[in-house]
Amino acid sequence: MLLLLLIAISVIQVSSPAEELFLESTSSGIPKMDIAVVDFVRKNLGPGSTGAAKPHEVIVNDLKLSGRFNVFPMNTLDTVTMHKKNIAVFIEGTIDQSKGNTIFECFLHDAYSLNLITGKRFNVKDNAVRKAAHLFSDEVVYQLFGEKGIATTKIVCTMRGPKGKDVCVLDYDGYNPVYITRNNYINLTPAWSPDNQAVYYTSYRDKTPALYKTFIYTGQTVRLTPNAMLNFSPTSNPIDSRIAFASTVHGNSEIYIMEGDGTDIARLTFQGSIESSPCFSPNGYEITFTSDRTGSPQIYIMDSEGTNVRRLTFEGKYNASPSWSPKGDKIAYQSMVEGVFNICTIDIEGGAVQQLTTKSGNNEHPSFSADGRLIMFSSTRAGASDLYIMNADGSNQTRITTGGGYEFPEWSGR
Amino acid sequence: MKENVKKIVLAAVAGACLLTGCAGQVAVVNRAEWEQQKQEIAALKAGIGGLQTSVEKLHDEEMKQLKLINADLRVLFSDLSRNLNVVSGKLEENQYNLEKLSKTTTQLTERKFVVRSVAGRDSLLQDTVVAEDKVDVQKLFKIAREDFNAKDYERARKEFEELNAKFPDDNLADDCRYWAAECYYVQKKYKEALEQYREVVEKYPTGDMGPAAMFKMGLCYKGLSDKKNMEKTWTDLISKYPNSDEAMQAKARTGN
Repeated sequence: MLLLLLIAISVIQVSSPAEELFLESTSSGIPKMDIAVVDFVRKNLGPGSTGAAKPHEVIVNDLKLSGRFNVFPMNTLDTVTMHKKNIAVFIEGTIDQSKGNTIFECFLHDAYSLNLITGKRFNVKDNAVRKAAHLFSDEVVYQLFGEKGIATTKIVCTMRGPKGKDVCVLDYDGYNPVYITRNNYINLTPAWSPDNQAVYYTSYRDKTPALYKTFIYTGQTVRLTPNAMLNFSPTSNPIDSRIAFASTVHGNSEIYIMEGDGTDIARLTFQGSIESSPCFSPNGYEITFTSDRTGSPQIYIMDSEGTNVRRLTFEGKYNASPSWSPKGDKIAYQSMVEGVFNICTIDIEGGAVQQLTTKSGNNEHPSFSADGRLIMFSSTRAGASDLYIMNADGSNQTRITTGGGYEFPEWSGR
Repeated sequence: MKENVKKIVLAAVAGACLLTGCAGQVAVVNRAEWEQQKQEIAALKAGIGGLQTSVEKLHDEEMKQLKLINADLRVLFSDLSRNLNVVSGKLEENQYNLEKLSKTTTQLTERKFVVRSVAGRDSLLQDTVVAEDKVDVQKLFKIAREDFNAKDYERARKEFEELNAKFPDDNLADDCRYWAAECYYVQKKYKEALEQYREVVEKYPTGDMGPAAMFKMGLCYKGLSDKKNMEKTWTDLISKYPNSDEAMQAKARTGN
């Protein structure tokens, strides 16, 4: 992101009291911390172990994706090179797979004093190595920035199946897919519950497109909307667990709100136009949504009672899929530019727009990470639709899935 | 006397017989006419029936036409309403572009002032101060909104109130008052919120925030379990701002 910093207006009095001087300075990007990750030393390799577990590679990927570090992978510990490159901190560790499980120790050191900043020891099964490495990545971010990282968060999205589309949950870096639906029907627009224990989505499993809630650990599924009309785009209030969604139950698509169990439905919008894609603000008090009430789809904000509706976007002919940043200051959305969708962000107050993607293909359905520093989205830039992560300023765009068919990503909370 | 009575009775009977005979003859004549009239009536009836059928046909035709016209009018009206919305959207976009231009102009004015003042001329001082005030309100409003979004409601409320007090004539003055009320409302301090919303409605009756403030007043009454005032406020809202989104909300909630 190009951050335009108006640093100061300093007044220098020389001869005339009205004599002034403007100082304007621009700075690009956010300063990143340089960190080295040394390949973990393999101590023992037991008879049943493959040796494939490389937690340091997972950590390198996490730190790169976090947008906070310049990462320098190293084969061996080389403090001289580190000092030459002015690297401030480094990570090293060991792996022991001699006793069936994988035992690995990770240490974060100050590169100058070599003092230990933090260290962790994990004793896990082979298939849990990635998760343990993610935990250490989050610990590194916490130790160095005082804020918890997002390496253990997850993504819910739809994935093209043999006959329909299924809802699945992935690690934030695209690994470990777990299917929430496997019913050969079309399942769409998934969203997390605030406690990250359940997923709301639209499914045609009972022939009519209704909203469902599936608990990801038990698999228990509940139908939330009894009507036979189209109900879609659920989003849950982070404060009181109510659900806002779009429905055609009164003819055209309007926004409705209901309790988390599907009771107490209230209508929020009354326009004759198409209202869709609601998303709650982080304090749960406002809802952003798409409406074509003025002829073209634009982003609007209202409060969760349906009052004080105001238009947010005025640039572009087609703006949709708004997603509120966790800090509450920005909304990311998809905007049609020269025939394809690109991801943009807009300031809630002031309305400054920033276009983040410029690649060919459609870039759609943005969703912020819990720390507000990253945005997940789907893109067809490489052909089929895959998931990508970028920094919230548009830099460091990284593909995290391959094979295509991934759509409607939503990032979980921490 | 009795003889006289008998005579009169006989005379009456004879008279009656004569009369009856006469009457029978008249009835025979009338029957023929009757038959003719009957035929005429039947013919007339047939005529009327025919007329009725054609009138009904015409009526049906008319109704069909009317329905078509009605449907056309509905489509036309819906198109008009849609177009009106599009035009209002365009207006909003123009307004947005104008504001953007105005901001640029303000910035340019400030720079111009600086350039001139450096050259020893400070005639634009007054204009610049006014321009800076406007920019400040927007910036400060943004800061207060960010505090609201960060759930720091007390801090945000103080900021909104201060802004409203310092810049009572600014375009954002009613917004500041409204958001100060929102800070109370979100904390479920309904009495305090009610007062603030009322001020928005009373002090800025033509402002944008009127309908939202009135609707929220109803919700405050609901929070205070005052159903009567809630319904009254919403009825007033429906009559005062009948085309607003909030009036629709109020209608839906009151069942009107």
